[in-house]
Amino acid sequence: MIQPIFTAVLGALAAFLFVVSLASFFALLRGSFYLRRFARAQIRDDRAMLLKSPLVPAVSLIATVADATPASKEFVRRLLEVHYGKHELVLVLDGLGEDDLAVWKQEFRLALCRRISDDLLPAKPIRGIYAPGDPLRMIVVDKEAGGADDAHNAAVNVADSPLIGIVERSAEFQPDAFLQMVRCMMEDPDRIVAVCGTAPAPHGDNLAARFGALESFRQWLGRCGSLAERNMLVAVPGCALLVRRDVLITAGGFRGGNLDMVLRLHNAAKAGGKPYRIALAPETVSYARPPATVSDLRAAALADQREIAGALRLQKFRTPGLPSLFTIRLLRPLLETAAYLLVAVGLAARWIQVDMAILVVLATVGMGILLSMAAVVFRERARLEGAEPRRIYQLFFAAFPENLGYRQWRNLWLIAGLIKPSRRSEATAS
Amino acid sequence: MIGRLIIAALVMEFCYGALLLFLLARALAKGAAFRRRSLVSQAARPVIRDALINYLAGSNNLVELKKLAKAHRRDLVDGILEVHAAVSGGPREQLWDLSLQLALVQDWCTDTRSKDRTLRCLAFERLALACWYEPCRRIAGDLQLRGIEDPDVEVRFAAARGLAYSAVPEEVQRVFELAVSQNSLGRVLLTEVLRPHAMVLCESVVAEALRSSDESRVISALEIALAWERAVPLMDLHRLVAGGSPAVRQLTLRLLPLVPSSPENDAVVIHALSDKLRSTALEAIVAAGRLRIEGAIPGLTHFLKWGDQEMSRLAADALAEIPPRGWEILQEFGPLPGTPAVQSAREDGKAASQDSKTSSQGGKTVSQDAKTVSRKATRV
Repeated sequence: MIQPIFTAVLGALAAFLFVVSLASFFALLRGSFYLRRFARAQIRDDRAMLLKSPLVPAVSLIATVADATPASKEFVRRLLEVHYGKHELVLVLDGLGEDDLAVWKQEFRLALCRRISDDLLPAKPIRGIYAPGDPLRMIVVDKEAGGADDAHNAAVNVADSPLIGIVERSAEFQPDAFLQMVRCMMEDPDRIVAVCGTAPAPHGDNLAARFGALESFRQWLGRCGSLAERNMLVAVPGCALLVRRDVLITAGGFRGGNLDMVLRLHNAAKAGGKPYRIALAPETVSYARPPATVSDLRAAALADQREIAGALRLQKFRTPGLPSLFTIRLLRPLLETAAYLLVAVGLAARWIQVDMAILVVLATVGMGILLSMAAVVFRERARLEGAEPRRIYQLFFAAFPENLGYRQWRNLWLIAGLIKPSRRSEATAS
Repeated sequence: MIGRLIIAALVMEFCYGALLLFLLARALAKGAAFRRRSLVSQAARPVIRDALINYLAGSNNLVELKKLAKAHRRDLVDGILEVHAAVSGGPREQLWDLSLQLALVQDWCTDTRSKDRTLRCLAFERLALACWYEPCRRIAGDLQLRGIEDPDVEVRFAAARGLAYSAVPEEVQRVFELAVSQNSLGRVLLTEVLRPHAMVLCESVVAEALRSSDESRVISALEIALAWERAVPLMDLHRLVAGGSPAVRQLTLRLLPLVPSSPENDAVVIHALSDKLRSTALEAIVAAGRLRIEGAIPGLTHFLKWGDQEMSRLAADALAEIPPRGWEILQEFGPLPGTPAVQSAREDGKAASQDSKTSSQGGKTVSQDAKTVSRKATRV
């Protein structure tokens, strides 16, 4: 009695996993076409003109720190080096003690200034707003502890530019990132409510780095290119975001990280009833630091997974982009792991034949290898310039070890990221 | 049944695998070609740069450059564009003359007819630079007129930038019309090249655009005029303040300090101080200060006394720009409850006033002091 049910369940799982993999394959293909079109459209370098034109809208970069460590200071220094015509940095000191506050005051010679906070977004009370004694385009907000989202909301309240710029603390970003992103926004300022800028980072030479590169290629083609073409773009780890302040306020600001905020923008813009777009700037303006070890890979996977799990809890399931994320990041790892377990149990109890196990392996490992290989060649297709041949075939053949061991292990990380309670402060860091 | 499914899956995966291997081969070939080309370019570039510098230094030996043009045409174009950014005047003319002699300009002219949008755009971009040189303009001028009607917006911008170098007013006016009708990016790209023609344009198409009933056109024209950041001969702007939408009113108030002063303009600024819309009133306060309208002093004093923090700060700034009455107001200002900024302005105003009395001739110093007063007023 149990044997046919077991076989049917495994058969259905294998079929579903085949379908999901095929859909992913076509999403990668679609993404590569879109990104190639975009790359061919980028002919002129307008950055110099955008830098000096008074017509380019001002940007308030927002950032949060919860300590006064050298890493935090380094992050703030990098933000102060941004190239843009009219910009300011709104730095929020989230619940700092007297000692840490004194360090920041000394670092930038801070003095109390008169700046109004709009209080349009909910945030913990502000204790003081400071301006630096040095000629820096910066405002420092000292507020009671409330977490990264609360601090971001406070920063948006204090910011007075029409555009808000966000970069993750852990991301590597170019000083002219926002010049490149504002260009996208100015192409259609009425419709574009946000721009997300990212591209795969140059990767290292060990196996863990290659796995990280394969993951970033799949993400760039599928989660960025393919979703951007269908106007379902969502934030990806390491991306820089440029958002219209008015729309961000209408959407309710930050509640569950950047991913949740972008999904919120989709919902708010859709509710507005007007045509809108969240555009992609598929350039290396900002990217997550490439992983070099397995623990880096694990940390990145967990952080992203927690954001996705948080967004799934906070947003309606039909929000653009969310069903795809749910299928790829939650459903597939769960079903795949379940299929492996069922195959092991079935084989041990002799409820299934070996050919059913082969079918499951073809649906998971086989299709996984093809997807990773496809990500490598489609990414090369999307680029105008060619990469070093040695690097291409190294990545192409890294698909085998990736799917024979690492993939199954990563599924467990993804499930753990789903089950463990969300630690927002760690996930979004900035 | 499962056996058949396995065979179907294997066949499908084999087909995908074969396709991916084919694409891998192509990617490898592309990568290898790119690498080869970069190595060749790397070797050729210093030679090209030296040859170009020798040519600009007075060597009339074109043989080497012709050889380079034959063997490394793309690198030679890149080299010319690189040197072009570093020189001006006579050497730049020599460079474009060389491009004509090596038939590079003619190549770009041919490329403007290409069906490939990228190639077309690139050709117009290069011609836009070349049109700085009159003989190139003679060859490419007509093409650019055609280019600004291209279906692709990027091609239109590229062609318009070349056309803007023309001294023919009708052609420059067409570029302005294109700028007004395009998105913000187009305006940013074209405003800069239109700046040298600002005076001529203000007397013709800008004034016409400002009279238009299409509000977006008026806003675009105002934005362009503002972005020029120079004095422009625009008349009758007071009508836009009096009868325009809030966006038009605010932009016009921002533009007023850049146009010739008139009693009508002053009157609309004073009137706009009492605008119901806070943002318009703020623009009017700034304009009153920049235009130094004495008639606006009562209104500014009102804001200094009763306005919110932002308004009182701007009003203090504006009053500091209108000596001597504005300074006297800041100095004489009595203590007011709940407005520390004003108190600060008043206290510092006394110091500034004392300075002004001691330095009867030093107008500039006094003005700086008064500005300091209003800036200090921003501090809590």
